[in-house]
Amino acid sequence: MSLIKRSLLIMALCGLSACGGGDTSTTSPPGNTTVEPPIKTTVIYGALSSAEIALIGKDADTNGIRDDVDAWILATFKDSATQTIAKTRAQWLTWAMLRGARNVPVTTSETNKIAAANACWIEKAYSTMGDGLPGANDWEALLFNTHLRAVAYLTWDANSDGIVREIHANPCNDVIGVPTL
Amino acid sequence: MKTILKKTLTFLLLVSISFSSIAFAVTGPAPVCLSTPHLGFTNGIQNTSEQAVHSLVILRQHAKARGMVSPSNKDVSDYVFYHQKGINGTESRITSFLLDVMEVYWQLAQATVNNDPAKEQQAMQLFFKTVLPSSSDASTSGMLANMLQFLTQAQNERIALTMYTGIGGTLLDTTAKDVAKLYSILSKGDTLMMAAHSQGTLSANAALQEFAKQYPQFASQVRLASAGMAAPNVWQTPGSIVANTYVTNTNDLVIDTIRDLARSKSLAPSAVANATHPVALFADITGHDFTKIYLDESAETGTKFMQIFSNGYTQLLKENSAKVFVADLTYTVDFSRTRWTPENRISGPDGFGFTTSISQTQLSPTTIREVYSLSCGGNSTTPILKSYDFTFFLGGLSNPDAVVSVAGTITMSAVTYPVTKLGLVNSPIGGIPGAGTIRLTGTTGTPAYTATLSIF
Repeated sequence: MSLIKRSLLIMALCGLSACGGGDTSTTSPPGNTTVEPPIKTTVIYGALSSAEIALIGKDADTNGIRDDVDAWILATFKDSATQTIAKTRAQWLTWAMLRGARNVPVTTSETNKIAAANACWIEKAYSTMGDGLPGANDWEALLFNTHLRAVAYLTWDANSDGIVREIHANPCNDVIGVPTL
Repeated sequence: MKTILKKTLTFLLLVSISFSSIAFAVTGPAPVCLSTPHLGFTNGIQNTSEQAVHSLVILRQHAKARGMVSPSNKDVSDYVFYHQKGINGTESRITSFLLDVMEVYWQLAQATVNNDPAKEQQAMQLFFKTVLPSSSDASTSGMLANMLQFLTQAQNERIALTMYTGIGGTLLDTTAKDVAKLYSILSKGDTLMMAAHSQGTLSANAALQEFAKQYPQFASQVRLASAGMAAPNVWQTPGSIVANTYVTNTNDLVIDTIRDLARSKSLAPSAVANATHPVALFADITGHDFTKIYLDESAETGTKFMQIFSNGYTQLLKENSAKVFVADLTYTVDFSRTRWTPENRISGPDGFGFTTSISQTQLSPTTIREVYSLSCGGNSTTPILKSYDFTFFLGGLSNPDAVVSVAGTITMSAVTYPVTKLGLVNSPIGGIPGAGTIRLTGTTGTPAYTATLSIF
């Protein structure tokens, strides 16, 4: 490898704000850098501590999705079907973050449900956006935009190490709403 | 200085490993009794599970566009063998990086000695040789030295010891989980076309080698296509004729560095680059991303990888069309519908004055045997003197998908009945798994006979 390549690589990598692979879109999703004080308490996740409510962030419509994530979904996906599944996916990812914050064991069942929401969203978005659809890392950068959120989510992820995800032929048939924690 | 640079790059590069997708082509319809292969994906370093799922689903989209379909007649279509590598939320960022690097070293050391447990000591020595910095490295000053300061001798000895036992244990445990999952998929007679990326090529190799060792009879039911090879060698299905089953970009900076580093540390170097993707300054400057580089069908990397995947997929369809394996199965017999014909009853004297009966041993759990020649359509015979049909209905199947075929044998109370044809002539009946008809045709009669079912 040439010195130029290596130098370019260092420059590129030094500019990364987050690690991880996945498809990367050229559009950077908006995100906050601090945990906002909650306006209302979301109920779809069940009883939450004040710290957990703060971890979710500002969620004015109490749909379990941080407001800026809601806005990003509406701005990014134009058809309602994709918006709907995108919101469900955001709820599942938030749910996973909360589970990570509690550092509870991860079950195969929950990983498959989260994977189904991901797969269903991709299938819907792919039909209109092709390979240019936002990557999983874009979602993660948006949703887990603070140290606390990232650590909580990655804890959930680490607890799922070695669990084989099962994707059905029609993943949208497997998508359900998040249960209470 | 050069060594320091390589190390530094390795730490940095391992952060950026990503995925890709795949596609392939089908040549002709699949045999009626054969399900299409499942797709599988094994992720590389620094990927979350969501990112790994993303890769698999994007791969599936590419596959679908080329006429390949995931099995829709199975409970599960495709699988993501997720390995969380180095992004543990409970670890600090530096420790996570170190964990990543240790994992790669550990796996490269294992791969160098071909994952042979008997060479564990050799692998451990190689591991320590790679993680402990030389004195000249430690004396280097400047930014690079600062970035590597956690790699001091004392710290690394402690960490290396911890990592060797910790990482080794974790990876072995993960490999065992993969092997168990592979068995659950392949022992049912299904096939699996896997894709692995980056460090996933190391873990996939380890899992498949172990699987082939434990279950050689199923090894030909899985194929692996690798992208961005961190592994030195490609896992090959025993007897496989496919020699070239991986793609590494000549501009893949991540693998370049890992290869150089491994070589400098007496580890087996990553496989040589064999395809080119133009430097993608904005899409992926590392040249390593799975979807951006190895699924880019406008470049050699993408077309070559898709061809490899297609070859494996086609091989699975072709080579396993008449090979079926099923797992243990329990069942009961539905006596209300199971009967001999032409007598049209379970027991009692038949048209020739003989008494027929069903062996009660059929009610016990049965261990399924392997069948190497599966008749998808059944056989028809021409009665010579006598022809008996034994129509059976099984119930309480523990795994209906596993019932592919049922055959029968005839035991005699006296001389052996000169059976000229014994086969499945009608199964499944009405789409019911485990229901079918066995036809017995012979040339003469015997005092008594009993049919014994064997389910495959």
